[in-house]
Amino acid sequence: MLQIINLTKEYGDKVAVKDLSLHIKPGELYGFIGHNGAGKTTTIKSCCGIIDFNEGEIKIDGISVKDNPIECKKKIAYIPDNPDLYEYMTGIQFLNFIADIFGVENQTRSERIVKYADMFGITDSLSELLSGYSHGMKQKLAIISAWVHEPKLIIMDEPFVGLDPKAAFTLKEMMREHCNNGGSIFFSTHVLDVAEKLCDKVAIIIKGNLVKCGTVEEVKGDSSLESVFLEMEGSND
Amino acid sequence: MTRILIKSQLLQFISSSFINKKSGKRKSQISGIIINILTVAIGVLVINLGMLKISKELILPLHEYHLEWLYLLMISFLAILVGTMISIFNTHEVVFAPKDNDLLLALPVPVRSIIASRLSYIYIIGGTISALIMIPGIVTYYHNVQMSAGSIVASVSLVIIVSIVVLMLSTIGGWACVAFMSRNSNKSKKRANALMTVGALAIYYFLFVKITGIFEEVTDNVGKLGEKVQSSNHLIYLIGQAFSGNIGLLMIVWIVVIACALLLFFVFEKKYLGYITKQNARVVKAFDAGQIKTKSQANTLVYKDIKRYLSCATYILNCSFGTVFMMVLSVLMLFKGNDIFKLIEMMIDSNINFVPILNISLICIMISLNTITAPSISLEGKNLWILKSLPVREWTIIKTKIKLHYFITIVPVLIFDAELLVIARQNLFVSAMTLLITMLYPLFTAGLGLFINLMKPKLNWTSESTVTRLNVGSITTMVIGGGIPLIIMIESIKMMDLYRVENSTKPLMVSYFIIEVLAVAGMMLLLKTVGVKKLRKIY
Repeated sequence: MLQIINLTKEYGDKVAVKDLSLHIKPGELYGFIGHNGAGKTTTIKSCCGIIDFNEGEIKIDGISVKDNPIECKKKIAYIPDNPDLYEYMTGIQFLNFIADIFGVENQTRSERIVKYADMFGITDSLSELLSGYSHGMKQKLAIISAWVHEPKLIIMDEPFVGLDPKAAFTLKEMMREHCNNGGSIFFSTHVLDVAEKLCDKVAIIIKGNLVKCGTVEEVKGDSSLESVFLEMEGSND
Repeated sequence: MTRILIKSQLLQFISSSFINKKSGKRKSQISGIIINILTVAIGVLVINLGMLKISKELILPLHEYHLEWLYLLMISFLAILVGTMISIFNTHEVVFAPKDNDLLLALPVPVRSIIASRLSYIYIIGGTISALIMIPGIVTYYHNVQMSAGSIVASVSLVIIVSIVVLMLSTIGGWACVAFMSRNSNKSKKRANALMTVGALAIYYFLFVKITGIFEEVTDNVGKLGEKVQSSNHLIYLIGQAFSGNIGLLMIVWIVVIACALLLFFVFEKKYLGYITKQNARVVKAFDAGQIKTKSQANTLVYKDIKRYLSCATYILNCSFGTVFMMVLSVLMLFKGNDIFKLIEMMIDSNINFVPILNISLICIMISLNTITAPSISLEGKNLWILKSLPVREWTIIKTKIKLHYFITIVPVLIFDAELLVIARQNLFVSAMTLLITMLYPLFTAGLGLFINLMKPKLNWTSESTVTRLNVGSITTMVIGGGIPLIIMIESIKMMDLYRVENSTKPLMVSYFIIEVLAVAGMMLLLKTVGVKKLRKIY
C-alpha cells in the first residue's frame, strides 16, 4: 500500500531523513517511533505530498507520489500533529468541505458523519465555529474528516495527542477496524505502550536513519519496546 | 517584561522583511532594506503628495484671515480620521484576536504588559499614518507662517498628541467591536463584521466624497466662521491657540490628553482579560442532518474562500478598495453623471473623442485597487497543509482564488458599465468594447496579485491583519495594475491629439482590447507554469 524507497530529505545542509525504506502492506497497522526531530514528521509529510523530497521514491498503491500526486492523495487521508483547521468554518462545514473534495455521496457522508461524531461525542458541537473548538475537539474533527471518505491508507502524526482517554480508546478501535477491513495505517507516536499493543509492525527512526523495523515481536524481542528504543537512542548519542 | 513583549511584537512586524522563515536566518540586509524602502517610499509619496495638495489649498484662505490655528485643527482632524480608520481594524485583530493570546495568558506576564505590547503595534501603525498626514501639513504651515521656538514645540506636540488620540480612538473602536461580538453567537460575529464593513464604507464615503466639500465650505466661509469661533472663545479656538504656540494652553491640552489616555488604559486593563477570555466561550447550537450538503469540488473550494473572505473585516476593507470606490462612484454617477458628461462634451474636440478610452482606463484603475488575491496564499497560513494533502491540483487552487477576486470585482464593474451605456449614451461598439475590456481586466489584476503573493508568501502570521494590511505585494499590484491603463490612456490621448485622425476611437479600443487579452493570457500562462511550481514548493 505504501512503499518508501531510499527516501532522503534535506533542509539546506541538514539531512532530516537519510536513505529510509519502508513497506506498509494492505491491512497493516504500522507505528513509526522516534525522538523529537528524528524525521518522523518529515517522512510523513513527504508521503502525503505536502513537502518535496530530494532522493528516493514513495509509492501509494503502486503510484508514485512525485509523478502523480493527485491520484495518490485520492487514496490517503492525513491527520497532522497539530490540527490547524479552518477556524472560519463550523465543524459540519469543514466535514462537508472534505467530503466534497473526495466526492462522497450525500447519503454516505451523512451516515458516516453522524456515526463518527456520535462516537467522539461532538455531534452537538458540529454547528459551531472551529475557532471555539478545543485542541482535542479539533483533533477529533480531523480524525472524522479522515474517516469520512474511507481512504485506503490513513497517515497520522501523533494522533493521540490531545485526546481524552475515551476518545483515544475509540480511535484505537477505529484504527484496528480500518485495518481489519483491508485498509492500512501508518502513524507516528511517542507513546511506546500504544505502539506495542496496537501495531502489527513498527519502525524506529533515530536522527533521520531507520535503525530497526519489522513486527513488534521482531523489534522488541524478549524485552519491551520502551527498553529497545531507549537502548538504541543511547547507542546513537 | 513589557519591553520584551513590545520587542517581540515589533519583531513580528518586521520579521518578514529581514528573516527567512524557513532557515530562521537573517536575510541579506540589502533585499530587506530594498523591500522596506520601496514600501515606505511608495506609501510616503502617495500620502504626502495628496496631503501637500490639500494643505496648500487650505492654508491660503485661512492665512489671509489669520486663522492658521483653524488650519492646524483641520489637518489634525484629517490625520485623526485617516489614522483611526486604518488602525481601528488592526486593533480588533492585533489586540483582541491574535493567535498567541492564549500563550501569553499562560505565562507569568502581567495583563498590563500584554496590553502595552499590543498597543505599541497599533500606535506605530496609527502614528505613522497620522504623521504622514501631519508632517506635510506642518511643512506647508511653516511655509506661510513664521517659525518661533514656541510654535515648533507646539507643532511637535501636535504630531505626538494626534498619534495618541488616534491610538485612543482605535482602542475604543476595536473595543466596541469586541464588546458587540462578545455576545458570542456566530450570527452576532457576522453582524459585527457587517457593521464594521458598513461603518468603514461610511467613513470611506465621508473621506473621499464629503470631506472635500466640507473643507471647501469652511474655506469659502472662512471669515464668518473664524469670527464666530473666536468671539465665543470656543473650546476649539483655545485648542487651536495651544497648537499655534500658546505654551500655557498647550500644557493644559497635554495634561488633558495624558489624563484621558491613562484613564482609558486603566479601564481597558480592568476589562481586557474578561473580553479575550470570553471570546472563546461556546454556545451550544443544535446540529441537524439538513446541514450536510453536497457541492462539487470546484464549488466547495470557492465556498471555502468566500467564507474566509467574509469572516475577516480587515481582509474585506483593506483588499476591496476598488469595489468600494466603484460602488460609491456609481451612486454619484446616478445623480451627477449627466452633468459630468455634458461638461466633458463641452471641453473636448468633437473629432478626437477620447472619452471612451478615458472611461475604460478609469474603470481599470479602480479595478486595480482590489487586491483580494494579493494576500490569499498567505492567508492559508497554518491551514495550508489541508489543501496540500487533498487531491486538489495547484492550478485548481489558483483558479479558485482568481474566481473569488473576479466575482467581488465584476459586480460593481457591470453596474458602472450599465450606467455608462445609459448616461454617456455610448454607441453599441463602444459599449461592447467597454464591457469586454473592463470584464477582462480583473483577471489580470487578480492573477498579478496572486503571482506576487506566490513569490513571497507569509504563512507564519499570528494576526490576519499582518497579511491583509497594505504591504509590498498589494501596493505593487495596485501600482502595476493601475499603471498599465494609465499609460495606455495617456498614450492613446497623445496619439489622438498628435494625428487627429477622425474616428480613431475604434482602432484604439481594439488595440486596447488586444493588449489586454495578451496581458491576461500571459499572466495565466505564468501562473499555470511558474505559479503552479511555486505553490507546489510552498510549505
